[in-house]
Amino acid sequence: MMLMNDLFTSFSINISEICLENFFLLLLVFVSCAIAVSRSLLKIVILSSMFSMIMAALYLLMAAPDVAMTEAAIGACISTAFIIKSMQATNSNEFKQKLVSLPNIISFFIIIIFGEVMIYAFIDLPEYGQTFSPVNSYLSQYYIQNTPVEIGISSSVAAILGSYRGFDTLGETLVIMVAGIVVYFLMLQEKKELDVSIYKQGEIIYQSKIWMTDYIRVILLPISLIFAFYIQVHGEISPGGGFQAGAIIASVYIFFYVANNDHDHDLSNIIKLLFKFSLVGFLIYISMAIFTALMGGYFLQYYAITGSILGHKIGIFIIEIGVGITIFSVMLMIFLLLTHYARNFQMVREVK
Amino acid sequence: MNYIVVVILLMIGLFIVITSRNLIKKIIGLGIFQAAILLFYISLGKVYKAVPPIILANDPVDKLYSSPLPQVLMLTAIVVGIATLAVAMSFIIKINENFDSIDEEEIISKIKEDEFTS
Repeated sequence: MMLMNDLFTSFSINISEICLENFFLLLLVFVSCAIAVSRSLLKIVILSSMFSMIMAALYLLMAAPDVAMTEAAIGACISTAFIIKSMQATNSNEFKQKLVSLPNIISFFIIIIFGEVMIYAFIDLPEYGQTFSPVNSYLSQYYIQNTPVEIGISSSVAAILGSYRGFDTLGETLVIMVAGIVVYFLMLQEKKELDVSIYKQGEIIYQSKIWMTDYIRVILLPISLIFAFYIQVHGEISPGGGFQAGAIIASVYIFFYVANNDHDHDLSNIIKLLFKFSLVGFLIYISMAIFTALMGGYFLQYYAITGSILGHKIGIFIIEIGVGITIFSVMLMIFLLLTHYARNFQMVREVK
Repeated sequence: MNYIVVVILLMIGLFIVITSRNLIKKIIGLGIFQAAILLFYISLGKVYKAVPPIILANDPVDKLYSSPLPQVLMLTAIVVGIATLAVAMSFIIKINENFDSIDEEEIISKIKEDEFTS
């Protein structure tokens, strides 16, 4: 009887988990189909934001809160803001696209073949959700068992990110910084000498937006900042860390700048400041690595800092701060660069 | 079900990348393709009734955790994805500055016109 009861509860938990997941998966397919047939960029952007939110919910259901947080902040907020700003900067919304044409039909059949090949490859995969599938057996078990012993922190994700695969994260931060530098030198332009009186026509719209700015400044900004700092500082004992905190702070400020679209406000000084900040974040990371080497350990071997397990804790804490600063400043900088460019673009258009 | 949806998303993403003439839509299609791969990796690490991989001191021995390794890899993949998206967007803006269009075929026809005149 006991066994039956146990079996029944486990069975029902599985069923509810699977039902919820399948619902989100179906929604995902519908949304991506809608993106494929849509002909308005604004619709596509909003649908892709929705796509990211559904993905985040799915990650949460699959017990991956770190990934869910990152996807919600980066996929749903920051990438949407980037795409909307570049739509403004290219002045494009509706576009012509034939859905039924000869090249499309040919590519449709090619993609059907591609899908069949993929399904053929996927047949060999282990069954979904099993406890002893190859992915969950060897290395993952090692990390789970040894994180409290070797690193001394509870979050296994933070331990792998910061310590076991710290080199990986170093390259990661470098990639972000390089992307920031590329966009900075592509998009930065000095404010053009144009007739400023054109700006003033947007004043009435600006008046009606003031309550929104106040709401963000008074309520949303402090709460979100406290949340983000909590995530940043408690990266080792709870889901979260530098990536998530940086992305959340950047998205809050992006929201702020979207609402407070004051054209007289010159952004180029802030952009230059953020550019320096992004370099500082990477420098914190790399100087931590060099410091461990100077203390007699290997590159990024935090154990050498104090000669005990506490060293890992300190090292991971510091590099998370570096990562957070880099992510925050690069994301906000790219957004402001795009905003700056879009404003100049619209202004030049109006003068013409 | 998860793996089937991954295949469908890969197909839709690739379809958008191949068929759409608008460059921004193409990049969004690439984003869907990438999201499918992220979903695939996270589904590999899923265990039924598992909790997130945060190991507390007084946890029972037989407690199930989802696999942390795919999560870390995908965490970094998302962030690299946004960096590539930003660089792609700035390239598209620069293309628009030169050709005054982000439609593929218009751009190609303009390039051909330039070759004729020069």
